[in-house]
Amino acid sequence: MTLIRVLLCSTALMSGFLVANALAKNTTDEWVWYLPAAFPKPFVPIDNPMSHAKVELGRHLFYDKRLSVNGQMSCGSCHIQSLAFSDGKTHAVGTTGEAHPKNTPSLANLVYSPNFNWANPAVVSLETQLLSPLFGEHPVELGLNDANFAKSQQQFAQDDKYPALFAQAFGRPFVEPQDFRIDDIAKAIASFERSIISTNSKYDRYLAGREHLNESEKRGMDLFFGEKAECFHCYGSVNFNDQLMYFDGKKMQISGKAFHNTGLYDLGGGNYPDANQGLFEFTHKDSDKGKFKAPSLRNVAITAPYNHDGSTATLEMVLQNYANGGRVITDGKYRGDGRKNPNKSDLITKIELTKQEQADIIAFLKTLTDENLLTNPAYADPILPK
Amino acid sequence: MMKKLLPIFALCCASLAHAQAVKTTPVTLNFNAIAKTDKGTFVPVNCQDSYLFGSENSKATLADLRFYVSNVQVLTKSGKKLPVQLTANDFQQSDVGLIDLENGTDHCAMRGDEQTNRALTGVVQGKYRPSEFVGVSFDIAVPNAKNHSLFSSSDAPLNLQAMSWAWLAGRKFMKVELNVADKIHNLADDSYASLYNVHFGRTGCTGDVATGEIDCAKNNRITVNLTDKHWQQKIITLDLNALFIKNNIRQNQTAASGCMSAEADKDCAGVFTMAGLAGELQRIFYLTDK
Repeated sequence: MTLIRVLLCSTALMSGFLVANALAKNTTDEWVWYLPAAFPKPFVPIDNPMSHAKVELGRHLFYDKRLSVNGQMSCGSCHIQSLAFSDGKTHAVGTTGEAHPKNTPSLANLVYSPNFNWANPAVVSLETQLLSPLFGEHPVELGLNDANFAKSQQQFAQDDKYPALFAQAFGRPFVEPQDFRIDDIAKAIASFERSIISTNSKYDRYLAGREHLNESEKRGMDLFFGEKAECFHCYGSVNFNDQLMYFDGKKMQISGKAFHNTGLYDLGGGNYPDANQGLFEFTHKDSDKGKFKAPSLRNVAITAPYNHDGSTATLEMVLQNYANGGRVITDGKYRGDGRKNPNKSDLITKIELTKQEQADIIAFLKTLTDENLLTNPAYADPILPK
Repeated sequence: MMKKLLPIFALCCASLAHAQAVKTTPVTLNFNAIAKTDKGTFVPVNCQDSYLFGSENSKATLADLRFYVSNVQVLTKSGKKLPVQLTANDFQQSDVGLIDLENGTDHCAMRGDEQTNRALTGVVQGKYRPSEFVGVSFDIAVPNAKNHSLFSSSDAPLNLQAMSWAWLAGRKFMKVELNVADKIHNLADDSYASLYNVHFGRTGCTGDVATGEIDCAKNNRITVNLTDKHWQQKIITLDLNALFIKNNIRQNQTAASGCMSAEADKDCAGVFTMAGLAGELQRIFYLTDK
């Protein structure tokens, strides 16, 4: 009897100890990336290491509408999981109804991206980048500012979950509103965004020998990686783009720094429409007009419409623009022959593709969709108070 | 030498001897901003009243008015420029200060905040009589080394979201925003807006992903040189009438409403010229009597 009681007691103690230990471990446990062999190890800034607690906090914040001026939108309103964290709209629309000149890009595999937005060489960390949608004024996305952010902080301090989630993520008490610093919020959201990994498409499973591609998909793959269609020059990395940041075990490596003009417009002198001049807006070099980064093609089948301004409705049309060596716009204010844009990439030249070949390339692109990404509960809205 | 002289000073002039022990000279820069009334007079601006701005004398109210001041120097009689070290407080670090001429009331409620700051205070190393300072110079800027820090982890006055410029990973050096009474016609897309912005700051920026260092092609730093032996009794005045005089604030030709310093923004030509960012000397800051 006594023995049993002792045993029961120690078991209870033991389990209590285990729970506490697990909690402590959870905050300090080294983050493990589960990646296919072809994927390099992601680079993570030294001042914001990954942790499960930070990612979990970041997930809550990512979906929290209290991080907008009017409580109407969150990061997740424009980056919708079922659309590979894009929004299906031509132009993003902010919480106050203001339209963004750009199309919402997917967030999948952002951890491998050395730069952000469609062509912004000035912002070099995710922690800096996300201040733009949160606090940016032109255009207003979530509309936070000095005054209304203080209100968000108050709400967080009174929240059921946040004081504990923040404390666990950052290892210090969060009690007063001012404890909930923008820096912490940025670090947590960045950590969650870095955790959004897409490596389990049909194509990845095919590479691992676990799935077959059909004949059309295979022909499309050969065209994609071949010298006829030449897609691979800009989309050939493991992430299906050409700018990859990763960790080589010792330091950060970046392969590719190119931005490209694909001949979508020429309003004269290489100009693209207002507010969508691309890299030029940062470098002020005429030769950078209309240059944007090649976005990752992973999950491309479900991130329509396409291009930096969402001006191309379907994958078929995207391919047509490439095959034509650029886009001709015959009427309206953007009238012009993009094929003759002086900044157009040398790789964008007229290609003769049969209807079947185009269909094959698109069939291949559709194998890049990762259903797991679209449904993984780890990336889903934790259902916050509305 | 000094030791030998000191007793003599002490005998004749105690206060001077005391001053020599301190070995710094305090300096104060007072600021205000003026605009044109519908009667044609020029008055200090507030957040309540309407003024006339721009080439077409369009009616508008203030929405925001703040700027950073750095590289403060005083000019001595002998032609030397002496650096002024600002005294650390809520509006100043040693090398940068914020002037905030709106108080968040009335028409500034949307864009502004409650705090205001109309003066910068600091010291010059060495003891000088006020009459020895015959001028003052400064830049409307944040020093490059501090410009690209995150506002979220910076000390005051660099901690304001309102002055941060997230997309360029920097800060607005100067922010002047007007609520235009009869709306602004945006010619590019035939839309209408009410906020006419002037945001000056470093542009053409690219960052080094490995080091995080950011370099910019254009500094867009207004340099102000004011020579007047009575400058310390006067007020450094930002003339908003002059700033907007070449711009029709009821029309926006390209890009952002007003001028956000974008390279291709035609609406920057006028304000850049007046602010001295297009090669000429600035014409918007000058001294007026208190």
